[in-house]
Amino acid sequence: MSKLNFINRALLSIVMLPAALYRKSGANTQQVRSILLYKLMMDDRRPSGLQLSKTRADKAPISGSSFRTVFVSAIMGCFYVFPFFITNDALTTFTIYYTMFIVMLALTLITDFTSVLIDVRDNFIILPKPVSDASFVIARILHITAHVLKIMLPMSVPGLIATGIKYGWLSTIPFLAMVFPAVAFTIFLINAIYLLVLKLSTPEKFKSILSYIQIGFVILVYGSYQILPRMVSSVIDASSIIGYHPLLLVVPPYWFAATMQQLILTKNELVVWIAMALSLLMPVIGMIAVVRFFAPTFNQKLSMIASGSVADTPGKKHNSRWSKQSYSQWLSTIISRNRLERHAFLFSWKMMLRNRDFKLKVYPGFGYIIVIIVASMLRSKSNTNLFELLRLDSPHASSMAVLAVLYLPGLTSMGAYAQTLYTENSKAGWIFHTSALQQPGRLIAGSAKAVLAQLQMPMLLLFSIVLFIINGWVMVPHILLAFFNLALMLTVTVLLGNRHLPWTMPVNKSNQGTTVIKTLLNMLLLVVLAGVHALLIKLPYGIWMILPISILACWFCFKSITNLRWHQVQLQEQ
Amino acid sequence: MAAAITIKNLWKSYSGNAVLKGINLEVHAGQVIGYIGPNGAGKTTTVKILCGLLAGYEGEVWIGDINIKEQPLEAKRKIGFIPELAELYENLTPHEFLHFMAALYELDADTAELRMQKMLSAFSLEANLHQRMDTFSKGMRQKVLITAGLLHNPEIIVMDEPLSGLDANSVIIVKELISKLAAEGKTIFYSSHMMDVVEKVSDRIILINQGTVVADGSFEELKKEQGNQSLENIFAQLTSNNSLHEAATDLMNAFK
Repeated sequence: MSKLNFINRALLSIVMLPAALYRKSGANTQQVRSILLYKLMMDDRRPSGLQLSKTRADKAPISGSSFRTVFVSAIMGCFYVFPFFITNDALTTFTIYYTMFIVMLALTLITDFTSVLIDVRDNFIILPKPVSDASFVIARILHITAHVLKIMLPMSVPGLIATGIKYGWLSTIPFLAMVFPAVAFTIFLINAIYLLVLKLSTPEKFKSILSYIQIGFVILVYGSYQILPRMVSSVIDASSIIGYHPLLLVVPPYWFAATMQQLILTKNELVVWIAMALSLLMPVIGMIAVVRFFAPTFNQKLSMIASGSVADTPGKKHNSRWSKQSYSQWLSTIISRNRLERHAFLFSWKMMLRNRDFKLKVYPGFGYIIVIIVASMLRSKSNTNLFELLRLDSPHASSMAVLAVLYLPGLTSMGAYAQTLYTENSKAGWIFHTSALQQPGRLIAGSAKAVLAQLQMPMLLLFSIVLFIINGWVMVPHILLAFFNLALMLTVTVLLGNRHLPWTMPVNKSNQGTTVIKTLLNMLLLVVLAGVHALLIKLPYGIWMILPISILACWFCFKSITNLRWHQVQLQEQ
Repeated sequence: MAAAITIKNLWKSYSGNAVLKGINLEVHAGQVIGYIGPNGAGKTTTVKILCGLLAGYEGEVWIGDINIKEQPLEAKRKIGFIPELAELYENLTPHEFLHFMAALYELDADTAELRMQKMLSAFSLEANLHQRMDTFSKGMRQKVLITAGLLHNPEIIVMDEPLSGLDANSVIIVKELISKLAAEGKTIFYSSHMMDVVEKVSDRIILINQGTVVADGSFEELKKEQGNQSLENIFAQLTSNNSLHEAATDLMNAFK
């Protein structure tokens, strides 16, 4: 039984300390211990909740997830200490600190509740065994506790050290004491969010909402590390303070910050005293609410989410299915006259919208682009504003900023196209192989067009509108050229090495090594195309001259894709 | 002596829809019960109640002289459950998983070790004992589940489609195993769709349809009552409203 690593062994010992108490509540402590032991062992072999995707490239068994979780949590904790450097006001420092702490912890845990902590298989595996309800519930609560401890302890260490350095080592004691109410409040917050969303939607939809929360989380983390320190340091200077406005009482992190301040250096302000009372009362009230009102239905509802039981949701009626044309159907008639290609377009269109794994991998990329653009705007220290920077004839900026805005989405849609080849359901691809298709290339062409239409066009359109407002009609040829160049880039990468049928490759086949090389090649191609574009800006009518060539090349490449025969398509063995 | 399993007037409904409508059964020790019925007849619901997975039913369910509602833990100790879907924690190895299961039954580790070694060797899985189960085929997982269900040597074994995914040789082993367990006085409650297996292993067949028992007896008795025909035909006769041949004809008519 010594297969647990020391982190999990320590956690197990900690949560099993009040064993006598559990026994008193009617639990069989031996069984509780066994359940916890194996749950922790399984957690260690699961990709950590802080990693985005559950799939991995190599088949090597995962182990030591706990170490990664602890490490990543500690790193995240390091980012929360920046307020210690930018302001000298304790109240301001700790308000920013607790805001980040609570938000990040909540976002980390919110997905773990369904993916790690509530396991529907328990219903079939543990419940038929002679395990009492008390043992089962206590084991579950302790599992959640151990999981939370594993994240929150390393996460608060950097803050603890920063507090010690700045406010004296004695102040680390109140800091440690305040971690627990803050965490209790966060758990209450998560419960409340779950319950609220469940009230408003079905368990099935809830899963999608969860994945959007996850996507938002990844973008937020990325964005805040890129942008936040820069923004905050320009807004707040060492002398600014958050103050004692009564409205601040609606901000929970303020409560905890107030208590920290009062424990370090007491200030006689009524608002602070109220905030301090709230920080101690609210977690207790919250926990009572969780145990009394939320917990009974919570577990049950969560297992409904995890099992995705749709028994009670009657299927939607599609009476007008054939009579009314949807947007995607209308688009499909534009992109091709070939019926097979249109259906391939619709197939990929729907798969991209419905495949949770695809969204988790691709959508953050679009968020990154916006983050990159905003961050690079902030980085240029000159006084040029966004407007000035994106002016083609601006004396301050080169045309590179404009081209970057136009071409960057291409990199993401390129990545998105690569993802349309993979699915958990790859075996369903037999249907293409057994059908008597003459031109399997039509499937690839339709799918590629779906990526362009669903992911690239809206992004490009959005940026184009911004650029059009700033620059006016002079922007039009540039937008057109960028559009066709990006389409050309996609078709070239398809022809050069992605000649797979859409949605037929098993996920674990995606080889990391070649993906890196492909991404580099994509970037090179992007630089070449954008470079040609940049050179021609200087020439009068240069863009208008190259545009027909780009359109022609694009048409030719699509033609070549549709003409691919079976022996030219890279097949996945079924 | 009390019957091994007694079900008295069992009713169960989900949000107003009655799934079980007054099931009455008495199963004696050493009997192999084949529990069959069409999809949605209430087979799995009965199995879940029998294993203590479902509460909120009306009527009584007794395991020997233990009422499941009143003493669920004592009842569960006597039952071994082999579920239908290969539900197990695939991150664990069979060795870890089975020790976990043994701990939940409070079976001592040495006995558990000895038993799992022997049982998994019988299934030719001894080489995979320390391999994580995420790479296992459906059949291999099912073998581990069967082992998990039998490990604590239960008096009553409840099986829900236990042969799914097993290859022909393993099916033979399990069928033999069922008769040997019955010979030792174990009671087997076998819920399945596979008529040919039910026909061969059970010494009593219970057919349920829309929540009620529509036939109960040995295969020979059923044949006598329903005319000398296969279990498949008896099943069709008792559970289908429309002629199945008509359905096939309707399907063919789609081409016309």
